Amino acid sequence: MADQTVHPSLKPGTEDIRFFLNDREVVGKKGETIITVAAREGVYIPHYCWHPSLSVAGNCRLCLVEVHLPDPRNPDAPAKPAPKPVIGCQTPISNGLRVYTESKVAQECQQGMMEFLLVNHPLDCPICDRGGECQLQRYSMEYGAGHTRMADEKRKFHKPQADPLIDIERNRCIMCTRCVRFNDEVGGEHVMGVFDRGEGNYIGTFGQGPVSNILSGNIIDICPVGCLTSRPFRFKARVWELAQTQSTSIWDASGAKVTHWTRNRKLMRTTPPSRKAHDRYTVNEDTEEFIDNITRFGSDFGLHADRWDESRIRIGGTLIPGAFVEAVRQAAGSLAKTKVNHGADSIAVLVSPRATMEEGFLAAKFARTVIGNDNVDWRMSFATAASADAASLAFQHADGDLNDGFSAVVLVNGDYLHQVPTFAMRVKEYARLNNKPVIMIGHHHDAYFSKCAGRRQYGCRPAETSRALELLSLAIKGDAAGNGELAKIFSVAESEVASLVDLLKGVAGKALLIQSLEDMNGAYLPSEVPAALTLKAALGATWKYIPVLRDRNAFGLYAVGAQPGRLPGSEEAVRKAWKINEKAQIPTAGGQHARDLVAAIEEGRIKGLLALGADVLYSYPDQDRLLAALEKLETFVVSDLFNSEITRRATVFFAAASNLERDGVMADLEGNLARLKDVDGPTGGARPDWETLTGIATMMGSTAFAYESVEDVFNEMIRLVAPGFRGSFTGLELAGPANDHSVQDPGGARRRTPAYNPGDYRVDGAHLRWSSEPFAGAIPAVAAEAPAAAGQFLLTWGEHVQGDDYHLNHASIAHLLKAKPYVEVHPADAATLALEDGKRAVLTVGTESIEVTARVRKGPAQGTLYFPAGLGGLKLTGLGESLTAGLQPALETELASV
Amino acid sequence: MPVVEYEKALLPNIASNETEWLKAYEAGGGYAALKRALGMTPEELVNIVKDSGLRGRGGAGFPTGMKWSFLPKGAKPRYLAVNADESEPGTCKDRPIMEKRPHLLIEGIVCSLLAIESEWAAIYIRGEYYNAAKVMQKAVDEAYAAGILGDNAMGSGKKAHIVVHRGAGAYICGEETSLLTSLEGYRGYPKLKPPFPAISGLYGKPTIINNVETLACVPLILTRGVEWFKSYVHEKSTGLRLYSVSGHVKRPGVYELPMTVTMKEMIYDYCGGIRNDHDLKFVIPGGSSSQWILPNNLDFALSVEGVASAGSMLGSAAIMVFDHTVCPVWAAVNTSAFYRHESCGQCTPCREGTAWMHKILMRIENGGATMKDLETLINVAGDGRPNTGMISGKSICALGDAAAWPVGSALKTFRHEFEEHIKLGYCPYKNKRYWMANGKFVNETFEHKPTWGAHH
Repeated sequence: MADQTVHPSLKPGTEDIRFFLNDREVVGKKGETIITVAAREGVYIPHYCWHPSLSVAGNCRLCLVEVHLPDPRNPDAPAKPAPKPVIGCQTPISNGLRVYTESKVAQECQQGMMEFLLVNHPLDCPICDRGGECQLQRYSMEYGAGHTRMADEKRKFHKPQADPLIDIERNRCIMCTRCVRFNDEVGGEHVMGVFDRGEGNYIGTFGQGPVSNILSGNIIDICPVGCLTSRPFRFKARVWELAQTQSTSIWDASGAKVTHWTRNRKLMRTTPPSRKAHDRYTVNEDTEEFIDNITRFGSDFGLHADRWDESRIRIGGTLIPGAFVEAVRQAAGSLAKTKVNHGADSIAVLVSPRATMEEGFLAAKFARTVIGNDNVDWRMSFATAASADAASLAFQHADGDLNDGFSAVVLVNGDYLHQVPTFAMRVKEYARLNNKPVIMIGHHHDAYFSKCAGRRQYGCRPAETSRALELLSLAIKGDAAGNGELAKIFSVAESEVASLVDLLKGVAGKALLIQSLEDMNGAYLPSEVPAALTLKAALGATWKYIPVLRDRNAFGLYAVGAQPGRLPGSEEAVRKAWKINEKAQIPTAGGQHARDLVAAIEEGRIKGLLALGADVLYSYPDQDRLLAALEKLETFVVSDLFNSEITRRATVFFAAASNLERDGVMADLEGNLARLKDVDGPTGGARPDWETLTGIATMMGSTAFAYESVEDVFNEMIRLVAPGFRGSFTGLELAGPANDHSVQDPGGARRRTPAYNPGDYRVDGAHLRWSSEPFAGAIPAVAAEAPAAAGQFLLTWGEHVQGDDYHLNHASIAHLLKAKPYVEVHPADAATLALEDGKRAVLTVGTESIEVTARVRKGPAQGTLYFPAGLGGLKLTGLGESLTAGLQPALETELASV
Repeated sequence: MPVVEYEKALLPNIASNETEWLKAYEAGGGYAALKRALGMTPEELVNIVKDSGLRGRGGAGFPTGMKWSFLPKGAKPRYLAVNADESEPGTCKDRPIMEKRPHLLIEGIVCSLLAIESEWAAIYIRGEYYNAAKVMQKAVDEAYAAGILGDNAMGSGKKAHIVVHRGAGAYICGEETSLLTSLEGYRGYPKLKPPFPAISGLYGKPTIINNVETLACVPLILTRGVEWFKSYVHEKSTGLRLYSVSGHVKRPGVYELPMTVTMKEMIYDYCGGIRNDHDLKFVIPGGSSSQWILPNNLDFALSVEGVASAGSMLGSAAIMVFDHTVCPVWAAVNTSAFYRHESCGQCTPCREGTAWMHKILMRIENGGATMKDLETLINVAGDGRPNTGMISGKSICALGDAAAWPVGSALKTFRHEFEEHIKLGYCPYKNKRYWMANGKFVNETFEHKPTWGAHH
């Protein structure tokens, strides 16, 4: 509801306001509301509808407080009680105001509202899934009367079956409208609303449809009562039976922190971290603590029926289960044999982009010291080897983060919401709430940012993006000669270009240049990354750069040198740490790029492969070709979770530990480290990859792999990667509530100050940063785009976290988490095709056709279509080449609508 | 007592069935006020209205000139919203203005637009007022055709536009901020204040909301002068006022009278007394949300201050008269049913409280209530005074108060009858009770006659 947002006059200012909170003098800023200052001062005001990340609705009336107003004409006179109590969530503080949060009036209001809320609310907490973490229960104990005076029949609502993931139980709703506001504001989609009126009010989704956006699961957490509950979790467990483990998402490269709630080592649910002392069983209320639906509902893939939890050795044509030590001996033997027979360069090591930094570090060390080559990589899905190198160049210059906000942001390409959901959310929310300019340049613009008032969109063809960025940097340096060409590329007036340049030049303070490395598998990155870095250099030192890649630990794996041509630290330090003598060479050149690995196997150059995770192989676009190539390998050692097409071709299979069973550190795209925490060690015969690698290396005769624990690996790794790091492995663990199972009296927790502090994540020196030198390299030219045939569109694409993914495919409710295929169409193109938003259409690429939903928006440039790769089973196998696609409205037959 | 006749300024031809269209209005000296206003500065216009002492006729009685002067200087655009969502039970005074004298309202709107330096006004007409909306639309079209409205209003070079907008049948949209959200196309939810509409109203712009009758007074003040307007005065209430009288009087209807007339004169002189010469039971002086008044307390002037001195409020000046055949419990049930149905449901106390009050009252009326329920009801509804009970003063808008006050004052005024209902277990006026027993509705009739009531 746009009309419910806080008026600009109520935005916090800088002027100090002195007022009295329960007779204690406190200082706040002008425009701050009573509830925010009180929370900071440790005075808890109960509330339901107020949420720090959402606009003020003021409808629950539970935060009513008594105020006494000073007489403006006579400041010395005692403040007079206001005729009515006021709501703390919306009333701004003013000088001399006296606020009483626990006076008789305030307590009467709280008790009255609690009674009203319970008039029609079922009093059947024992059968409610929210029981134990319900704010209504908690407040009822703290502020309620303890008995009911309601003698009439309670109101009952029909129960909708709207969303497969979120259960809506309207009888329990207290109409706080947090879910409605969350979807409108944070989720960016107006999918929920309030229907009917008066006591018949209920929440629901429009057209009984699902709450479709990728952040929708968060409304489960922000619902203070048992109205919105998680369908996969409901009635499976009671929250006080569950142990909590603070960990991090393995899907979201934004580095979202999570709490895994487990019972008997079995994952029951995943939520944002619960770290408030007084909300021990509930999740807390800060913006940065929202997570995406994949992380929330998809983290249980380790429980899949296809899980192999024993090591296997190929004997005769079958993989026979065997002891871990046996498998280690077999793997070491076959790798050594391949090395002797075909030379060291015939073996390659692959690392999953979801491997921890420790695993990547050991893989890098294994290749360099035990095998003796540079063939270690994680970047299998890039269009070309040059694209992968361009991504590395981007990481080398990455220096941005979202701490303390930004004064402007430039987004180059990208489908951020569907690639790095919580990062996109934080950027969008900051820009929207603070009205910062959002400048979108490139062939695809994320429609998620369409609610930002300061949005400016400059669309261009994919092949023109780098030229546009180059011209823009020239214009910023004062060379306006290219403005005409730039205006032509963007299809805007030249004055518009001039105003853009003025806007960028006028930005004061920290600003962000964010570039997506995902689009079209990075086909244009070799020129786009240097162009973006040139623009950054032209804009000046206050501009920071964040490259965005969907792969969870891409940044960390780059840091630990799990890719050709890069070592985790300086050569000298590495030599010392890895105990390599002066004369021996550390291989850092001529490494095999993962992108070209399949070709190398086909040509017989690679005979042995060690893969940590089959997902890295699954990310290769042409799976048929890959599987055929794997057959040709002499030695194929793979450490993975599942029985799959890829692992069935292994010569030695190691049962890996899942995301809940291993320990380690991951870096997000801002360079922050986060701890992946195991719940209780690996299941069955599974072993974490660091143990597997240590075993194989030791068996192959190395003495440099004498690790007792993953912490040993971390200590060696972090000294090389971040010498300035002053924390510890355990220090990176998130602070969470203790896992004791004693039931706490909620009333006793009332006056505790919240334990949450946004700085909790930051550890001194834990930011991974390298280059501070401005980029001064050349920008390679881009080959001109071949004109598309009549009626054809240039197809652009990007990965989608809800698409075809090795781990997601094994999640228990994968079928519900996969996004339905859609294609984004420019409004002008949609008009010529007579397509409307939301209508069905047929997308044809080569010989393959797929029925998709058309989304008409200014996302793709005119003449191009944007298709999220991996949706709906359409394989884009010819990656790296220009693809054209046809689009036609689907025939609306009567049968089709049935 | 002799009936004193006063002049009719707002509705001179109320008995006629004819609508006064542009030609007739101009022939009767219409649009002279606008011509005068065009020659004045906005400050002068605001000062004239301030001097006249004109107070809002919608219910709150806020001084109109002062409201206008709250607009922030220089903030443009700004809007005028005309509240024609006349839904308060008992009120029917704006409808004759719109149906009979549409051009008086248009002239008032344009004068007000000049005073507040606005160019756009919207008339938000109650959905059920189909004819009024039709008449207003036709009159606005006439005014556009005659050049009174448009980009060059009356050839002055100033813009004046009016949009006629029909509501969709929600009482809450008569609340000024939900009127604005409804106009914007959202659910008619009241907005949180502050910011007040004069700072941030329609589409976030400064907006003035005035009642139809208030604006219709503006041309009269301009043509007949401030002194004429102030000649009708009772304490701080000036001018003539439209009273909608309904209920058990011999001559119900809309009366245009000065505010010096007392309630007793209104009922017994102007309206001819109680029907069939029954006894008077109680009076609701200002629309269904005002507090009830007993027959022993009728000697007060029908001005804002006068009614307040009697413990109620003038509100929209809708007087409802009830004779001795009326069961006050049933009247309270009926009133609370209205508010239960019309609560928008945005905030907790009003959404839950209105329904809960009605449920308890139904049980008191129909049987099945205990004395404990009465205590609960008093606790919820308060005693009829502002900011008492669990609803009043705690909701977002005034609908919560409006729902609680009549119930609270009924309980205070006729508590013995409520207790009698509970003790008997049925309504002595109907001698019937309907209640649930073993899953079936039981409809019982009693012979018992109460000791009070019909012969009281």
